[in-house]
Amino acid sequence: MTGGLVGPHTVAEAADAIRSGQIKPSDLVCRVLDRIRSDDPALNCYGTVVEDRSRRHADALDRLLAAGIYLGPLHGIPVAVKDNIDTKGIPTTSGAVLDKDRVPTRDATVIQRLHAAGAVVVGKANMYEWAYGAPSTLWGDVANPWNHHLTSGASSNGSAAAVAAGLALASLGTDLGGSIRIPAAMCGIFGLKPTTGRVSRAGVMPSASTLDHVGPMTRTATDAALLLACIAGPDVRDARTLGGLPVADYAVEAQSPVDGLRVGVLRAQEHFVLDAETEGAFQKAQRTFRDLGCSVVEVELPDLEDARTLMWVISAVEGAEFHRENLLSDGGSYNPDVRALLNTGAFIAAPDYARCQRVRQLLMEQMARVFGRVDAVLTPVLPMPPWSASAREVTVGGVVEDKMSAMTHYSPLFNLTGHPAAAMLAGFTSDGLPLSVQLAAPMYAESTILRLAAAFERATGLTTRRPPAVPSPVELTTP
Amino acid sequence: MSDSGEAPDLSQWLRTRAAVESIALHEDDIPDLARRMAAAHVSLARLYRHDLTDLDYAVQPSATRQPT
Repeated sequence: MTGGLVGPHTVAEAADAIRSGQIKPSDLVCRVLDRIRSDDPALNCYGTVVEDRSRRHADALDRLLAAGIYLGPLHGIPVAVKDNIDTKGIPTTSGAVLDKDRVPTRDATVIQRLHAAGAVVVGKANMYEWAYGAPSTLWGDVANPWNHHLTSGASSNGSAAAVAAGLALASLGTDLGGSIRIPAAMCGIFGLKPTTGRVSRAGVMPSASTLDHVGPMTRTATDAALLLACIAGPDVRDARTLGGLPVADYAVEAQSPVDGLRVGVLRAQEHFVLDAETEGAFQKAQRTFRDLGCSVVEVELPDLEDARTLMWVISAVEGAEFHRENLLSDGGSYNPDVRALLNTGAFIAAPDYARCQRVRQLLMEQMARVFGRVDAVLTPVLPMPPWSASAREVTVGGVVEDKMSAMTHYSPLFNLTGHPAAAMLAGFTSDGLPLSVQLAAPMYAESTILRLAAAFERATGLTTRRPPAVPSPVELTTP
Repeated sequence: MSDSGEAPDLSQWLRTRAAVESIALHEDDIPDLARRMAAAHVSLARLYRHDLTDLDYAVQPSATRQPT
């Protein structure tokens, strides 16, 4: 009997198919493993794929369903996990030669929560080395599914590309200055950096201890809502998560109307310019939110160049502290660009680091005032579409800039202030490359971002477009 | 400037501080590191233009209250 179901390309579609018996978890996991086997040699999204283990897990989830036990919307959903997040019994390397044989004996809290919700970890996603500014020395770079010659960076690049290419239905990434949002934008998916303290970092390899965040990377905002609801909330293993607001039913809240919401749009800052197609997508996104009934007003954000400086200095100093012993004993094993960043941090004077933290406080105050006027803030994510994977510099508006500097115009501010922020697909270039915008909201107001993004996705239909390599949806057969 | 384009005094400062403070420093990395440090100091100097006299401690990274 033919189920007539299209997909599933999203977590929500797959959850419906599993709940209604149109597909079994084991079938869905097998399909994703087949796609990994066929497509990942060209993309390099995964460092480790756990075929046998994920098949056994899916079989167990089949048996639970047969017994009438449904664990929730992630029951049987194949998920990729960035390789700096501990998975018990599965190598967790942070994309670094130094940790190539490291096998954790305990799951990170977010993995425990994914398992409790029924998700199946199919593999560990490739990533920038130690989640800093250069591809993995262990596995090499990740190709962009929209054009294999282009970059998929930054650091959660494997997590982003896997979801975009259909080699996982969802993934987890980490973000210290944009490492969820930047690759999400490069690959045309949705990536959410939650509020500081919303999601536990316990069992996640630190990169910059006051900037690190863990968050979902998915095809749609609704899918991110489903994952966030499972992984968010207090955790005694991460004190920063204690005392936050209650976890919402994000998937329900994401479907709420958005008319009447106030969206603040970044007033241009002269040192950061956009290329023409990115500017066009940014303007069009503003018009779409107006059409949805939002009031769209210009707002003055803190100096984004200062925010970028703070992020680089703070991450370099905090990274230098964490890697101090390893740099002394095994510095040669590091990617030279990563070693240079960390060494820069080792030589920053303590008063300068303290100054950074105090200016960071100023940015928090400025953003708190902005969110006194608006419910959300809209900015670009990147100044231009994805660029060549081999480029070390890019040119925007006649300005030549290091690629990592160009990536980090708009995202670091919200790591510094702690506000939730997400990258959302907003259009395509004439060459068919994704263009994205960033939505940010007050502390713990992830629901506002998800509402706006879900409404935007419904209005534009952009998330149904797939990278060229992804096969057309197929008919499913009910068991 | 030396032939490598680095500021000699900064290179020597890096070597000395690395030796005193047990910082891992590869000799090959020094020219690039000197350039990065020079750039970092220019960026850091911008941060001292802010007047932080009246900085309010009410807003913290994990503040649970909604902004007013």
